[in-house]
Amino acid sequence: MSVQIIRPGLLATIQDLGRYGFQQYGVVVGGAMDSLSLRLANVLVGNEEGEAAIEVTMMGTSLQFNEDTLISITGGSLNPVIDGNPVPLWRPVFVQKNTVLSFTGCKAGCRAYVAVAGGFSIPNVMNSKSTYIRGEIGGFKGRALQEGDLIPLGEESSFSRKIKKVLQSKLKQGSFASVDWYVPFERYINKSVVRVLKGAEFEKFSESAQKKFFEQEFQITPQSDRMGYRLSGASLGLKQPFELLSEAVANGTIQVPSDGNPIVLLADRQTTGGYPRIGQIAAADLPVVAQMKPGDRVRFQEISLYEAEQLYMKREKEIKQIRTALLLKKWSFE
Amino acid sequence: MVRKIQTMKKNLEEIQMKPLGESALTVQFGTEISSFINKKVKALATKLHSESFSGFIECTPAFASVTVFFDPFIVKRTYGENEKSSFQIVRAILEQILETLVEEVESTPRIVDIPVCYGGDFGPDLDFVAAHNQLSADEVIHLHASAQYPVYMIGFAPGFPYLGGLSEKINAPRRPSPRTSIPAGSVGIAGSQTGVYPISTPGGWQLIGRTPMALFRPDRDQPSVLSAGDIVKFVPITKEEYDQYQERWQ
Amino acid sequence: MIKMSDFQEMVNIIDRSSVNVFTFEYDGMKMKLEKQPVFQDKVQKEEVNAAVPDQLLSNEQTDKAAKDEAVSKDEVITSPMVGTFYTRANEGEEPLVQIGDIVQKGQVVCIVEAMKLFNEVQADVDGEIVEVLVEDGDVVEYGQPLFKLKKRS
Repeated sequence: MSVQIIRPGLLATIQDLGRYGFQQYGVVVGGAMDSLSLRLANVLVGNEEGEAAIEVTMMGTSLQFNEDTLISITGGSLNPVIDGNPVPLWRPVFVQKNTVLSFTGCKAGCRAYVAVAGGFSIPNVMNSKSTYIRGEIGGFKGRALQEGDLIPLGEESSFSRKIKKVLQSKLKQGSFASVDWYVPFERYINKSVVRVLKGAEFEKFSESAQKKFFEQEFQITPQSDRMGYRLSGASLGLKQPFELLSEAVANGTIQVPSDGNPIVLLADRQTTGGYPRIGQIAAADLPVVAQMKPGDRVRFQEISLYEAEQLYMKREKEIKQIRTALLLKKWSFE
Repeated sequence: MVRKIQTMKKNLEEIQMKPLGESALTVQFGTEISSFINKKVKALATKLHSESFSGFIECTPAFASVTVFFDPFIVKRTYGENEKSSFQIVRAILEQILETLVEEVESTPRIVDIPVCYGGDFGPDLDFVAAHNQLSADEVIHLHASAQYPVYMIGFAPGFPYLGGLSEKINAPRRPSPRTSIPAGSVGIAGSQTGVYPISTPGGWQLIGRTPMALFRPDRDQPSVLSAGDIVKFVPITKEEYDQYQERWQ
Repeated sequence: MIKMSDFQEMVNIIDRSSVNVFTFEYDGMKMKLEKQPVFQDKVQKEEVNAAVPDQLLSNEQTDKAAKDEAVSKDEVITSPMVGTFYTRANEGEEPLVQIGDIVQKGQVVCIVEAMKLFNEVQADVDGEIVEVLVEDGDVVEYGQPLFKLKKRS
């Protein structure tokens, strides 16, 4: 079984939850920009949450399934179609042999995830299948997907096989079939307010910069990618210049170089940085940022460490609940 | 190997712990570059990678700090018997580790020669660094290549060494805005630090030269050629030698 | 961890399914449920389900009970499960249906959320929505009428 890339589109890469344990060697964590969507995509097809999936960026990507396959699409609404018919998001979908799935435009969000039952059978590099393009590490041959790539699929779980069978029998016309339930997570896409903790150097910024950071709107510039988003808007100055010793940064760290324009560090961020950090995006809102695209506007809302932790717990509980609900669905197929 | 053993208990009050979001905590041992502080960093990182706590993901050692990444959900589920946040729980665990942690000081560091072709297209900021310090380009090269640099940490990018020991005479500020792409092998200066870019990446350092040596090899068990504790020496080479090296190593 | 409300959900799902004995293990926790023999109407329904396995994936079958209760030409659409009733598929969107709308068999008329899954409830006949019997965000019971529908002749 395999997936064939008909057209790579703007950018399509294989991503999982990232490469952990190697930051001590400076190895970038990487992984899905919107890890929530990746996890749910996998759960919906009966995979482990951290299995690798295809991260489709904005538009133009076209894939062909060479066998009957159980898939799910989550994340941004990038108008996925099969034979001109829209394919529903956030649920398991059965696709027939030789079906072509195309992403035809950006309705909402920026990145969609296509998970296939069984995941992708590609080598782990430093414990991960994530593609780190700059380092030419992992994924499919260490690079973005290209026309003609044939990516082999892994072994389906018993859950996957069960849903696949039920949906296969439901297929009456066309080349795909789905269910009448879905996971309600598209609500976070198209949000423009992102919750942020004060960064380690917040107090080193001028009073007016501190105020502007939480009050004014910033725009995502075209010089934004998986490594980070460069923002434009108010220029954020320091009380007085200082050189900082390089220290670890994290997914969602907002640092400000001396030109005053903030940079949000994302999946392919460097492991350490030396620019003052004005903020840290709450983990629960990282998917919101990952679904923003150049030109979108963002406002930062201050929250406490306690609130950020509460949001984190709530999110994990929601995902657990969904996993439980799906276990019950599996059981109801028996 | 000579070992100096000393517990960190008496220094505990000098150590600061601060959150990096809800899922990470930075242990800061100091605010300057020194091998004394860096040894504590190495000791804590080594300890955590061999024997950690439930919910620990990994840690990133830096010049004077160790950042510990954890999963708040697992930390709370394992240790959270009361209203304590996962940050407070992890802080308490780390304080306990630090109390009994011993520093291990290894003697006879490994010396690694890194050939560098300075200036020209390889070092577009060499003249800026020279002008900034009122020196000639040759004087900058001479000063940069005559020192010994201890490797304090690997970070920023795969295999990127942060080196101590840069002469004060050739310090230079970071660029106002980072370059969007810097070629692999570029050698740069930022403030009082110098380093080599092992892969092509954006970055804000002033570039003075380039090495043909691959510092990052993802197919190896230890993917970084250098590791904390090594000593680096830069050896000036010509463009012809650079080309020869590159042919030989590829 | 699983909360009490999750258990209630599970019991509800099991209760209206064709399974009589159910054991469940999760995170080191075990649960076993056994059902008493069910009454006549339900047995018939189960037979239907067994014959058409794909229906287990949908919530359509529950509308059958509603059909029996319907008075004259009025139909009701009932909730297929315990959960939270939503008129909209997404916050900020238009309601899926409103009073006066003509709906077709199979059209999604509302959402019932249970255990973080959004379940689409479909009309099982063509007709006109004449009344919405519950408020957006209400917790609804299994079999509770949600809409009154005038069947189109």
